[in-house]
Amino acid sequence: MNGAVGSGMGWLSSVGVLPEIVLIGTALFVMSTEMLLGRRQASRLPMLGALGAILALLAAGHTYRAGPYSVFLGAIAVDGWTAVMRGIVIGAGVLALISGHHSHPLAAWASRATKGEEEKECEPERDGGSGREEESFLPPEGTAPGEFTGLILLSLAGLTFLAASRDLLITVIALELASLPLYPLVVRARTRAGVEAGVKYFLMGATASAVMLFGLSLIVGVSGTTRYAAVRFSNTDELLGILLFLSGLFFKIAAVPFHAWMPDAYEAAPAPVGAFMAAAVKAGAFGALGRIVISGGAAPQVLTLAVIGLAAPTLFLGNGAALFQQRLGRLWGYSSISHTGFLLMGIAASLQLSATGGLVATAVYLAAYVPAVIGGFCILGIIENSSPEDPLAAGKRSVDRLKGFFTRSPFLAVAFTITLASMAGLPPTAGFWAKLSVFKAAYEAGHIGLLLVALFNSLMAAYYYVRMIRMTFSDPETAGGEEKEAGWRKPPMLYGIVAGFSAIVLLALGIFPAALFDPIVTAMKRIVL
Amino acid sequence: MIVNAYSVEALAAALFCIGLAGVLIRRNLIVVFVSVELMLNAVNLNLVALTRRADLLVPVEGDAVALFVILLAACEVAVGLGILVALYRRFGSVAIEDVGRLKE
Repeated sequence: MNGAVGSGMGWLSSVGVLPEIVLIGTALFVMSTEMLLGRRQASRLPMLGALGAILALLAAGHTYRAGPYSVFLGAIAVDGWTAVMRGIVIGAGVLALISGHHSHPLAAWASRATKGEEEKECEPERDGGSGREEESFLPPEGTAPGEFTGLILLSLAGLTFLAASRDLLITVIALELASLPLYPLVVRARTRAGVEAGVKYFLMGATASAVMLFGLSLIVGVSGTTRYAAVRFSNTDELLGILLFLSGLFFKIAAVPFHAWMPDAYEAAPAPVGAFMAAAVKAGAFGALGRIVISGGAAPQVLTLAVIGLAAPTLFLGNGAALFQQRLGRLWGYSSISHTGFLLMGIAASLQLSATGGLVATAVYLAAYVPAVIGGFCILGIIENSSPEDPLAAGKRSVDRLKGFFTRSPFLAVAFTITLASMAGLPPTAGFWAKLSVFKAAYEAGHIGLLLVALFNSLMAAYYYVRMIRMTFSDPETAGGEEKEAGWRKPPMLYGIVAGFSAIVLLALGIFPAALFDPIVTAMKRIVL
Repeated sequence: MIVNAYSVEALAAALFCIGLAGVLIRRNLIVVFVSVELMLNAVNLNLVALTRRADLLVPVEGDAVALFVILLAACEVAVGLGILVALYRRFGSVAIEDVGRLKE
């Protein structure tokens, strides 16, 4: 299958990474033209970025059809796994960019940042009329939609490289390329919460990448090269190295000892950035894990046990903390941690079985999880923008604000219900098939204990998802309902469109599961080993 | 003077542990960040020491990898110091006690 390994660094290599070239090119174009454009034109840049990402998707399809091969002297694999992950990650990026268009959410945050009482040294206020801005969706000074777009696109390029990389060093660099743009995006809501979450995220992320690099240096010391294929788990040095290396990836997916940053970052990040982090970053890091499973040597029992040992506490902590969480941002954070636990079941199974069985389950789960979590963050964006007060006022992201959602916007409430049902794994949504496939993989790998833990946890998860559904359909407000009703503002339209689109995708994939499974199963037959 | 590669690796491991301890213990965020840099430099030392090891079957270009690590560290510094400056402007302090507010 390694047909074109010998082709070196020539033309074929460039074609193999065409999607990444398109992404990075668009990012550079968007960031450099922003300063030439007026504010009104600049506000359309996220759409341009989304177009570039769609172009990258087409390019990914093209490179996939050219057959599985590896480029850059075998360091980058262009095969089924790469294609599946590119599809999921770039798709998530497109949806996040579209929901961030109008820069309405960011505008709301930044206008607060230039006006709020806690800012002393920010740029002096220019045009204060925030009402006018909201009507015309003109971003206020201090928001840079081009920067948002460019950073998201750069991060996307790093995330797609993660799934393709067969080299430890390229994986580390791709991970840095994916995460460095995200730190400023969390901070850019220039509020106390935003800066605090950004600093936490950054310092933990930097520590994780240092740990990862130390693991790399240990592996290189044993195997003499940075290629995955050379990792043999032959002695303790190498095993310690690979565990340190993997802990960097476990940090990105927020498996349990490395999870602390996630609820904070989701709570503080603007909704489109949160959607991107929850969907694309998680998928990208799992892409790297899957590639290690595919290209690395046979894993020793210890490694499987370590993954199982991480999955179970991740499930319990995520669901346990989400049970009574009142703030929607943190709730998505904890629910995202619990989804990491389910996904790790697929990875554990793939370490045990032949690689493909568990990896198909992991990819199916990711494909079902990504639209759901993006829809969830869009609803968060709608809720926090739904009142004329400050978007950062206390309780703006509270779960209680879901009350009466159905009477206010019935279509969105139904879309939200489908999203939640998919996250809980209820039929007839894609989430059901996702849960089923990871459970089946765990059963076939003989991880019965983990399977029981997961079943118990899906019950726990169902509790808080159903609680939110019930709240959505409850009466608007018992006390002072009229007053609240007047305070309900029409949500930004693109949030609604993305949330609706995600719900339709989840429902369609749930009713026609073949559309979910077939492409992934076919692609996984075309793997560069 | 020829230094044994293994003693250099032991030094690198010690530096790494000191850095990790600094990240976990120190209360000043700048010092925490410096500790992260110390960890990265431990990685560099380890990689460079590899090129001097005699027992490897294939020659290892650890110093080439170290160049990439230096590059990554530089990128992290650029982003990290920017974020820390933003933090200082907002909070007027870079001590951990003054910052933690999100959990409530």
